[in-house]
Amino acid sequence: MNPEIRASDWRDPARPVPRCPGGGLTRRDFLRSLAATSAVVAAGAAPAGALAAEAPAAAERPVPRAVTTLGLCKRYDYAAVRRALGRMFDELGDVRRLVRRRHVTVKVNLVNTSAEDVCGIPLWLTVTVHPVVARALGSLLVEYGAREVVFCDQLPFRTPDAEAFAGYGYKLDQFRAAMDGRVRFENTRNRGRHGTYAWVKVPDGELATAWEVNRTYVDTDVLVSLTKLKSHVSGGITGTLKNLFGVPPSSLYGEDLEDAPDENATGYRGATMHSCVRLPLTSAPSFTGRSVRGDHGYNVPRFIVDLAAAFPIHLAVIDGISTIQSAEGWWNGAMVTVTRPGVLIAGRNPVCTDAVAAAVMGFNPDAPDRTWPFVNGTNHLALARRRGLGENRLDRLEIAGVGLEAARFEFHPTYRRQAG
Amino acid sequence: MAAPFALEGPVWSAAGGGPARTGLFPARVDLKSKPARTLPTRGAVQAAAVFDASGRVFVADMAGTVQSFDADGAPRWERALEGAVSATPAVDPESGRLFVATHAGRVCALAAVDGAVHWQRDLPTASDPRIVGDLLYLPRSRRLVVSSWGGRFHALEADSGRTVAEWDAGLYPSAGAAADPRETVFCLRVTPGSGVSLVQRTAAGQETVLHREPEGPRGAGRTPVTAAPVVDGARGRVWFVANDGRGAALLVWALAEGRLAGRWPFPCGVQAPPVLAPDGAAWLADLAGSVHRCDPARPEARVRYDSGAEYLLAAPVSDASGRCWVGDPLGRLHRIEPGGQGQVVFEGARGFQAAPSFDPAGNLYLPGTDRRVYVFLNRT
Repeated sequence: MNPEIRASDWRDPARPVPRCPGGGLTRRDFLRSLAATSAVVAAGAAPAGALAAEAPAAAERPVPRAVTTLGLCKRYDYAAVRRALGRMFDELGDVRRLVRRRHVTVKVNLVNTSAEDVCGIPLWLTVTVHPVVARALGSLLVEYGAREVVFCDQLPFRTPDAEAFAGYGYKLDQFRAAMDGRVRFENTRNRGRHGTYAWVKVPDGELATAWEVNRTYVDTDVLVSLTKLKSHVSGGITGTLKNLFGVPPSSLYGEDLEDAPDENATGYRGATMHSCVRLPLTSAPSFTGRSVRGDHGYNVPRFIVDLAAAFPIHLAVIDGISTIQSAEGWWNGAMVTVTRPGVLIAGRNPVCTDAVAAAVMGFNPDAPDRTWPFVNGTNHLALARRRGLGENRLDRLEIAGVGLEAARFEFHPTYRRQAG
Repeated sequence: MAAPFALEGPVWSAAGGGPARTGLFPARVDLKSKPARTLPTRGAVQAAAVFDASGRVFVADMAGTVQSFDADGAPRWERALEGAVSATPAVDPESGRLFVATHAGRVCALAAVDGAVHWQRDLPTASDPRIVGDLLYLPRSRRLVVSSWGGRFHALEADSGRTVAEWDAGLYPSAGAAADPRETVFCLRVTPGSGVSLVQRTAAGQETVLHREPEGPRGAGRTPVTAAPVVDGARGRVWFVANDGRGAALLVWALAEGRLAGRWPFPCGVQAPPVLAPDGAAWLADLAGSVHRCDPARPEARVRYDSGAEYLLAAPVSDASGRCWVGDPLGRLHRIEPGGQGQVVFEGARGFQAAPSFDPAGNLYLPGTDRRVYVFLNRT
């Protein structure tokens, strides 16, 4: 666990720097980010084409790789899901060691309301991670010796955390029973139970130099990203990387903020991190200004990678049993349809895991920008590889479990906003 | 059971059998409970298999591959297209052509005998070009009717692919059109402020809105139109599904009387088209996992079968005995009696998300998402 720190720590070089997943923000980092931001503001936004160009040398950097495992599971039957996940974690080899005697934070993909459905089908069968998958995962982590497991996401509710999670089918008493009581739910839409926010720097950040977030994502030994296998209009696919989009809190990044941070905010980050028509209200400047106003397909993939660089994911798990295709949520209306791949995916590197997930969906995870499935913008998996976060090229990935051919289940591709 | 249902012939050349989309096979079948064989495909199959008069089967899959097999399962040819296929193709038995459309917005006319491309074209669109509505072939006028997410129906000349007519298909059209023997076309469209409309379009191009279901509280953008109308030509009725974003209604329009002859509300949505029973009732699979039998003659006597699946995505099919069969996303094939009693007769490796279809001999072809089509032989 990281030592307790205060929001102002980064301003005081005498205080200890926190061991944040992406590295705590130092005074030097802060000054550097300020200088970078100022320079861009002075120069104006660079053309998208110029910013999209990659450095040739960076493309050849060796990148981390890890095994991804695939399992088939037709139903949300607790015993069957737990059995499948347990087998998959054994194939990964080191999950037990990873979590033993550790504090584990599980970022769950739950999205921005629990009051919706897709044509009458509940969210957990379509848009959000099914509670049975989360409970089975939590149970295994506890069995492996995790000290405590915190399930978190930012939920747009001001009700107590357990009540907010219950709307998504996450019943705390059921989780406690399955996890020997070693579980908490935490709504990270604001500072929550913590006295301060944490700053986490982004190594080589492109659109963000640092993130100011709920401490749940920092005061932990292990970060698990648990997400739904889905298409995504801006990101091409929803995976364990895109799941991190829920980390920046509404209280600082929400579009319902007026001119000051607000612990009561519940808004989404559309204006700050999709269309980029306003800056977040963090306690210090942290966006570089290199986003492209209104271009979700440009901004969202870059923010995804800036989040992944700051918050290294130790274990990536994807619920692909029942989901939707063509887009990511109920808000995409009649564009989405329900589909049932009956697959679970897990890996130790989120880029590798998401790349395999894209392949399971029938797509090339290294597809060029603005081609399917990344038809509306940048391939964030390739971008993540160029940033040194992990391998996305299928022929360089190791796949265990039932294998790609047995798991493959083609999705309807992401909705194209404009004619190609 | 009386059977005035000479609506589709025994050759199922399109989704639901033919232009009327009845899903009703005109003879009694007795299926073996285990598949006799499977047809391997390149991708998950989300479109129904279609046939020509010789029993040759055509299968298009989500990997964008079209294949033809002989009636005994022997492979004949295979062709890769650009874009996945989830819209059920259509066969023109006269010219021996197979029409296929893809998620890339391309329509292709292939030679049924060897898969050679006669013509192909991309539908014009200012937005996403995907074609997901089942294709409709009109044999008298030799036209192919297809829609894309561009929001237009196109009637294409079968020999050239040239557009000869086009009309409004509403938002995100995912349902194909249907037609009666005079080639009057029936289709659905959802438009903001107008809800879901049942539209009749004559062969001469005259359009009439027969019925409007009011827009649901969630608006037109959240109202999927995924189920093609079904034409009961013998009784002069058109069945159709109107979703409202959360729930749905099954409706039947009496053409001669010019009024609704029945309306059955559902608390959940419906993705698949209804299927006719030989007595004039209709089967409908819903997104709560149930199959319903609705009869205009006895609207209060609604029969319901619970499949045990959380939702059903594909339409059933029916035969002259009144039974129906439906595949579920858990990979099971159900057989349901007219009285609502049913059972699982087969379980495959992965889910079924496309409707089964019958070949001319009454053998059932069930497309699987595990990259194979299961073939159940008819014992009669």
